[in-house]
Amino acid sequence: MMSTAPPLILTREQASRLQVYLQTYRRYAFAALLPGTDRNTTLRILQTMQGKLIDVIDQKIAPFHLVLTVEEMTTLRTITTELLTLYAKEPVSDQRDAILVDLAALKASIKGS
Amino acid sequence: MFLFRRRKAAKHVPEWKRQESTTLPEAERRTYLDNAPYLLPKDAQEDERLRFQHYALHHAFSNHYLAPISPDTRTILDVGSGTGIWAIDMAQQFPHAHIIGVDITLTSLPHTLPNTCLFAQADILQGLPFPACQFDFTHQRLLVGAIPASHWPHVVRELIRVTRPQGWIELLEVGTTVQNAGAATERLLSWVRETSQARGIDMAMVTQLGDFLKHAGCQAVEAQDIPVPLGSWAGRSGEMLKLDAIRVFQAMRPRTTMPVEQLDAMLAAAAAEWEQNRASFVFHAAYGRRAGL
Repeated sequence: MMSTAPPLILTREQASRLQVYLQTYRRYAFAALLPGTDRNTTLRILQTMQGKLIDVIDQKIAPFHLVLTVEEMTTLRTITTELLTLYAKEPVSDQRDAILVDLAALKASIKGS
Repeated sequence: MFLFRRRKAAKHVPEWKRQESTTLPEAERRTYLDNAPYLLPKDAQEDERLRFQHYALHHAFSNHYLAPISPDTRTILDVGSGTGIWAIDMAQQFPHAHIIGVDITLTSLPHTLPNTCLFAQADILQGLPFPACQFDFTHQRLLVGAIPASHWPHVVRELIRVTRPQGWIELLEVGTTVQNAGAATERLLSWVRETSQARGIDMAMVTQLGDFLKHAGCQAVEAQDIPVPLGSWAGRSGEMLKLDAIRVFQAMRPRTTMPVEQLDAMLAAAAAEWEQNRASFVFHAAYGRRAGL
């Protein structure tokens, strides 16, 4: 059995935003990265995480406890860093700045978990 | 009477009338379904290509499906199950799920099947033989060559009908868009469009998959055009897709009046362009959830 990391505890809004980030990264990877072992492994892990996240959101009992494996948590940390880099390249706007702050907070919470 | 069938029973299934191509040398003749608008052959050579394509797509898309379905998914439907390979591989990935495949003929199935896989003869154009709200996940891919343009909205509604509320419906298709296409590739794609249209197939329908799902009331719809590299310039995945694409176009040869030599020259020139231009075939993916109760 795979070892699990301490659960991510998310409000409804945080869970929705995490879902958007996971989907955004998947869209980016499909559009911009060549198929290969590393890309595909990351994509499969994110897809599974999305499934788990949607499962807990469907239960409608906030705050949501998202239980991830250590591998999933590591992947989440990696893609959060990559998303920070990607969003940082976008034109400055209030929305972009809000996303950067949110992603930084997410990264910190993963590190702390 | 509606029966689920295993491979050993398939020989008793009423066979679709078949039509053999006669314009090619005997060694290259292919067999096609006569009573269905399907563009591609239905023979052992095509079954082998479909199995190869299954793994090429897995390399290209990282998985056998794209929707973020729950790890606890229990009932899965594959429409246009063909060789059954998608259902069989999904049975490994979801060992606790019941997986049903449907196709208009079951003759391409392997002799042994997982206990959790069942196959039924059904034609999506005539409707699916299931009550409403049966499946957690309904999947259909690469059936554009079998669905006349006017049938698409009905087909999508039917897929949604058999999916349970909050269950997922996924569509994956490829049309006639190639990124970094050169002149030879454009000629080849134009030929594909004309050949398809002559049989009532409009390849452009696949660009509307997300809209079909939204208009039919699906929620959380995600639609994405995914460029898949075509050629050895992109490594193993690109090499596999290039080989598969060439075999698809070759399989369509009997569907046209164009001389074989001319078609083969066009295909060879296009394939060379894919390497030179670092071309990608654009796949169209869409998935969404049936609205809740």
